[in-house]
Amino acid sequence: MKRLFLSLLTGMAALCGFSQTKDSVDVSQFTIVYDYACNTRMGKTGEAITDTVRLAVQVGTKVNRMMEYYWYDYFIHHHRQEETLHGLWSHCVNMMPECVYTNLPEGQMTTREGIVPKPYEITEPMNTIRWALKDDTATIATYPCQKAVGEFGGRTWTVFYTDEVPSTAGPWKLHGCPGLIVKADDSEGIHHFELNALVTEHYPITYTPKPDHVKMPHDKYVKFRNGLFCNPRFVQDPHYWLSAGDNIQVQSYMWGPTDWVEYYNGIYSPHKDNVRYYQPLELK
Amino acid sequence: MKTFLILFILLLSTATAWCQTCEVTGTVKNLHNQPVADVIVKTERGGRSLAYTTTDQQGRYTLRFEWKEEVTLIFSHVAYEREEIFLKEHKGKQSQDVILIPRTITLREVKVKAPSLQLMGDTLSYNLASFLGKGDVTLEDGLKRLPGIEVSGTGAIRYMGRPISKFYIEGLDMLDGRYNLATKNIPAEYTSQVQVLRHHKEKKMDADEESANVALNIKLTKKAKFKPFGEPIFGAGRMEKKALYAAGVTGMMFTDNFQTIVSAKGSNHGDFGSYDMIDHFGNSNVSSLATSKLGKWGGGQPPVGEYRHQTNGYGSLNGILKLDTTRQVRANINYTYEENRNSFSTQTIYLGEGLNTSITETTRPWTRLHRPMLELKYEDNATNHYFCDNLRVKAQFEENTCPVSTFADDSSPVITTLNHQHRSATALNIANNFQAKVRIGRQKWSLTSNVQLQRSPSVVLTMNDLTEHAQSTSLLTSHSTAYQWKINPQWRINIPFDFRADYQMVETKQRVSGWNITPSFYPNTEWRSPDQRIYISMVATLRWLHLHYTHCAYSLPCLNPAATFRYTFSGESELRLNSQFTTSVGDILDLLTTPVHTTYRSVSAASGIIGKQQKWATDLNYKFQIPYQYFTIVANASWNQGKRNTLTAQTVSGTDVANASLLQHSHFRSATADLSISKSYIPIHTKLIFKTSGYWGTNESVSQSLLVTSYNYGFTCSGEATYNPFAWMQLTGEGRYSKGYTRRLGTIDALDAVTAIGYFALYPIENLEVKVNTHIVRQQLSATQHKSASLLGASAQYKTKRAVWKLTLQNLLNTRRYAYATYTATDCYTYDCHLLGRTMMLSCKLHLVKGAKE
Repeated sequence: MKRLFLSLLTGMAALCGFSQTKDSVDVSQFTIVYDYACNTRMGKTGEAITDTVRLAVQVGTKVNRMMEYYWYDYFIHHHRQEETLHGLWSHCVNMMPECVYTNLPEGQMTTREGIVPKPYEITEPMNTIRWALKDDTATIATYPCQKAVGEFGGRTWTVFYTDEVPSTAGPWKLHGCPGLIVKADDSEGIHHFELNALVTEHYPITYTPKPDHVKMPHDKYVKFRNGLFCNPRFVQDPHYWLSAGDNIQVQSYMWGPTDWVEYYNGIYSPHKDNVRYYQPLELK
Repeated sequence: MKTFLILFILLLSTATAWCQTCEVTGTVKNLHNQPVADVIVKTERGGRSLAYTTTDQQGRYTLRFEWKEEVTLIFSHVAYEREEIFLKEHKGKQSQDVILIPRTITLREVKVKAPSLQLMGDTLSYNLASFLGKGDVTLEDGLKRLPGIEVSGTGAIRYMGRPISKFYIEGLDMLDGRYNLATKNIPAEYTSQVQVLRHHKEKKMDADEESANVALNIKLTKKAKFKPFGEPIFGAGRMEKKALYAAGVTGMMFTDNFQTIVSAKGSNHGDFGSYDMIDHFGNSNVSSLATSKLGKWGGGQPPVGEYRHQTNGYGSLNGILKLDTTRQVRANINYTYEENRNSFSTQTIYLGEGLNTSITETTRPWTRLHRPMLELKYEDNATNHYFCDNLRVKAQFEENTCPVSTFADDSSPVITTLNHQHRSATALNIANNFQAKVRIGRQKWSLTSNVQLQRSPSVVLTMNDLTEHAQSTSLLTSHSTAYQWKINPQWRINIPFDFRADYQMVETKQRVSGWNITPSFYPNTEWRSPDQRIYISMVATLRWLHLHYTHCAYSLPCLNPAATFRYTFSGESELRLNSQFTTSVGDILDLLTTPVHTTYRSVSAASGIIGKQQKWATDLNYKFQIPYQYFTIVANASWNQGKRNTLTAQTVSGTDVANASLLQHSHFRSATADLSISKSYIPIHTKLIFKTSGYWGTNESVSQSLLVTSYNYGFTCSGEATYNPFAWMQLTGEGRYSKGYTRRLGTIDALDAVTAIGYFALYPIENLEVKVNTHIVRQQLSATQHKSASLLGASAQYKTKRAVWKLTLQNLLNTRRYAYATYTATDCYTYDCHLLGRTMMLSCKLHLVKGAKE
């Protein structure tokens, strides 16, 4: 009986190990940490504010993965399971995707994010951005950089890249420069990415298929998401599109003396007291 | 001819294009003949990229570029050696296949800068662990490291120059203004985040209202939550020939719904037993009319060095219970005991008519006080209503002696007179504050009721053969109601009404009593621009003062307008302008015309006229902050001007001083400006602060029957730097220079002061900190005289998981005197303070956690 139990345990452990290997799609060669800042306004008062979030981009030989740095730190450095982490996460407040995979599947980008009450997984072609290289140079985060300008998602982006790091990676979905993107700004001055750190870390880049995630063509999804969040009703009631009959489980957490965090079916939803005007990264 | 010309132009343009465009194609593979994808292929000339492309999944690439002169074709990839091909000739189309050699990745790393700053709207969250220095033990040590935050010598916390209005632990306000209890006793390692809540509104329903307040919220780590932990501390030492002791214990527990801090400390040296009880919001002050009239004797406090022999202690029991998501109850019971004595010599020069009067004295004040306090608070803080009731009962029992020796003249050591002075005072305050506020749609209704009883049954001053008695009772009531209507997102109006009815009685040699009944109506309106960048508020306060005191009936209607303008440039910078006109009137103490001795040689008599002051005050404030670069700028400027209906008058006769108020208009004006810049370099644990300020003011008073218009102006510059050149060394330096001028009756007196403070800390082994500190001051005492003083101290601290051992050595140079001078409008005071001698103290702070193992 004891032997059987031990065999069972060993089998389970092997299964776990197999499942981890199975979910790994690449191994990072290095990790880039970006600081993202979004200039927007409070929905309730209209007061101008700047929200920030720190992002980690794992750069593999084929696949890159971007996620909030605090999650990355939690999962990778503290070896925690990818469980649901409740709290007021900066990427949620900024309406930034939970994660973005580039070149997964091959030649495509995959984004995971939630719109109450469902999680979505969107795949889009990894169209190379046509960056126009400029003569301007700068030293950013100790790297010598050169300027480039390109269009992506309906916005004009000005970036500084460094060829000292020969990688086409960048923050969020920005990629394809002849060197690592160190800084990126949109032409309206709303979105700002800047390299905070670059560390050589070799950790698996995992991708666990999630059948419950709704799949939708990218163009249709952007229209759907921007239509919901850019609607003036959003800042009055951040889940105005829900109806009373929807089967939704709401979990609320206190964060700070006056801030509330709410999860609808496990998906973050801004509270009406601290909702921000949505500033889409992609307009189309 | 025309056809020929067109053909010629076409041919020429084709030839030109052929000459300029170049296309390179090829395949990139590795040593195993496998295609390499995502290789950057680019042309470069003079270090500048001209054109680029990347290889596809099959390793293929096509690169087109304009040919001007020779270029370098570069193939780069993170996992392979860089390959370069020099293209000398323009060939139109050409093929370049490349094989790349694998390499080990050796990227120049950039370490994570401050992995701990999050900015979410008005909330700025610092991960404290990232900012801590090696020698930091308490939360207060950690707070001092945070960019934008300053912690004063008394523990008061300011963010970008503004004092915090609330201190929360995990979202609960347990300690009110006595937050030293938390900052001094919670270990720094138990704090995960320090959140700065800018534009903080303590009532949830006021989230859409304007606020310039700043609050702090402390987030604790998991190990600090759900189980009790304690911080006993013991110390022993020696100073001069006296044995020193310090002992204390603090127990804490923090859960989601309940928090408590229980603490007791006692010591016969320094402020160990009183520091934790400092109330930064002033709610612990116990005052009364009698104690104001017959105030306590103290004396000059030197800005450096330990100058008081102190014995102090306290017991504190604090708890807060969260009943549900909106309701909470809080109880605070505190008892403080303080006893201190010091000594100093003063030379006072009174401005006389043609001849100044100089008096030299040596003073040895001694004070002992007991201060018990009980506070109970219930709060229901929801987004549509707010109810709060706060009951405070506090008392103060004070005993004060102040023997003063006077000398025959300035240079004589012979004491001519020894004057005995003794004061005992008792004061009791009971106050209840009730607030209710309800929101219905766009409307808010509020009701506030404050009732306070201040009783001082006995204040007795004995000065040589003279005795003065005083007693007082005040029943202060204030009730207000307000209606607020948010017309639209931009406009709102507030219509508040306040009714104040105070009964006051004060008795010295003369008894005065009566009522102060003041109804007030202060309608105001607020407007915000649609993009919320501009905010304007205007208020017109209408008050009708009715003072019905013994033999005095005074009535005064007054209108006081005020306006606020705020412009937000971005989330990073803001400009704010406030301007207001205020009318303030004196109180019942103005009617105590019978002279009362307040020291052995001073007599004070009120004018019998209710004082009135009208003032315009304007403040301009600019803030600029780039949180991620840890850079802040704060600039302030203010202007005040006004007039009073009375003039303070001082008459010196021999050594006797008489103070009175004359019925004569006097004017005053003042201007101040300050600038503060702070920048932190987190990777090298460096914080730089630069401050400068200037002031100018003019005032009128009467001295020896002579009207004196005095002008005061001056400036201060200071810089502070903390620098960690190595992990095992930390340097901290502070420098300050100030110069002040006082001009009256054609004479100018100037005083300057230079202060330098330095700390040098070494960490020879992990957990051991050796620190040396020095404090050097050079102050001007008169036009021809400067005096310097140097203080040297050292400490060694060793930290283990369970204990912090600390050996402190103070005043190693045994500096026993510190001299400085100050000017008032008409007088000059020169102090020579006695400092405590060499002091040694060894203390041990234990860290006890239930269930923790070494």
